[in-house]
Amino acid sequence: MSKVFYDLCANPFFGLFLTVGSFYIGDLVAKKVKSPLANSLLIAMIICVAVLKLFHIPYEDYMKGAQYVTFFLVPVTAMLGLSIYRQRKVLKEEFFPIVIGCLGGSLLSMGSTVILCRMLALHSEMLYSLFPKSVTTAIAIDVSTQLGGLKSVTMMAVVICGTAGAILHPIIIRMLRLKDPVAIGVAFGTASHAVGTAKALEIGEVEGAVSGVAVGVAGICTVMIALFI
Amino acid sequence: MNMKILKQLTLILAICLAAEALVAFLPFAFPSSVAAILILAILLGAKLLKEQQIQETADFMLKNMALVFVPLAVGMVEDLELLKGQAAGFLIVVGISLILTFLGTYGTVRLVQKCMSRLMKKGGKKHE
Repeated sequence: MSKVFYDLCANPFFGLFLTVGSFYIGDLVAKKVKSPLANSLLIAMIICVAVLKLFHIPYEDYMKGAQYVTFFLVPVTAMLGLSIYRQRKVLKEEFFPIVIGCLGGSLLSMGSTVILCRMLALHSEMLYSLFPKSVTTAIAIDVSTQLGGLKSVTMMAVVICGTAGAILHPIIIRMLRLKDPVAIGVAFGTASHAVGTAKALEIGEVEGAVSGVAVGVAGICTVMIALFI
Repeated sequence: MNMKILKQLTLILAICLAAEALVAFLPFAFPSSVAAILILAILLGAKLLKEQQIQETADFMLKNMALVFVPLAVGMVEDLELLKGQAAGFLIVVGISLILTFLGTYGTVRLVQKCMSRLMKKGGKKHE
């Protein structure tokens, strides 16, 4: 019985089924519970890890199927081109504030990471992994891998930036009484990527639209800056 | 309907392939995902591609984008021990930098907006 079970888990369909199925459940739960902590990715991850640990299924066996999902990273990210195009009106009206804001924010994100890592004497692998932490996952992982960082550490930092940002930024906005919707949108998108954008959309339409553009523009800015390192 | 999705998927995959080709020719390392974003935005902006030609498939991908990160997130949990001894430093760097980035970006945008409105006023006076 157990041999049949583990042979089945080593079949690519197992990893595919677990990934898509757990995401489906995560999506259902996230729609019911409206909280930045209850996002579909986080729930899907917990379900997958729990199943693998509970039944002692090796990660390699899971990846035999799951790798086909990861393969769609590039086409899915490419669709950000469409969301930038859809926001072309805002982008045209506020071109310089958005582009310079994204560039400044990306420089600050990367610069502060370098300085803080040096101050805390973290090793350079950690520095390269944290370098692109504020941009959307696909771009962050590409930049981190190119520089010699660790994919998993980058992923952790990106997830934290998104979730912590969605919780902290509204508090900062309230405390400092920040008002400008365009500036708030750019700040959300540049500091906390797509997860921040979801939160920005709750604050307002302009905030959400600008944040969506900022995710793409900040990603491009980060890649450009990383070229010079 | 089925044919529509097939056509849209073909177009999207063609863009990805074009991005990979472009990146291979560039003399420096450039992520193919970003090249694909730029190609798609340029094609749409130049009206060489219409939004309707990829709409349904693209919206499905945008809506469920997080799905492709599930395997990576599972791998991340497997690799948690990479942080051993550095977890505190890791959290401090990410936390402080996150808040600085948010405030800095907000400030930069406001600064640019103020500079621009001042320039506009000056420009306006000249024309009068």
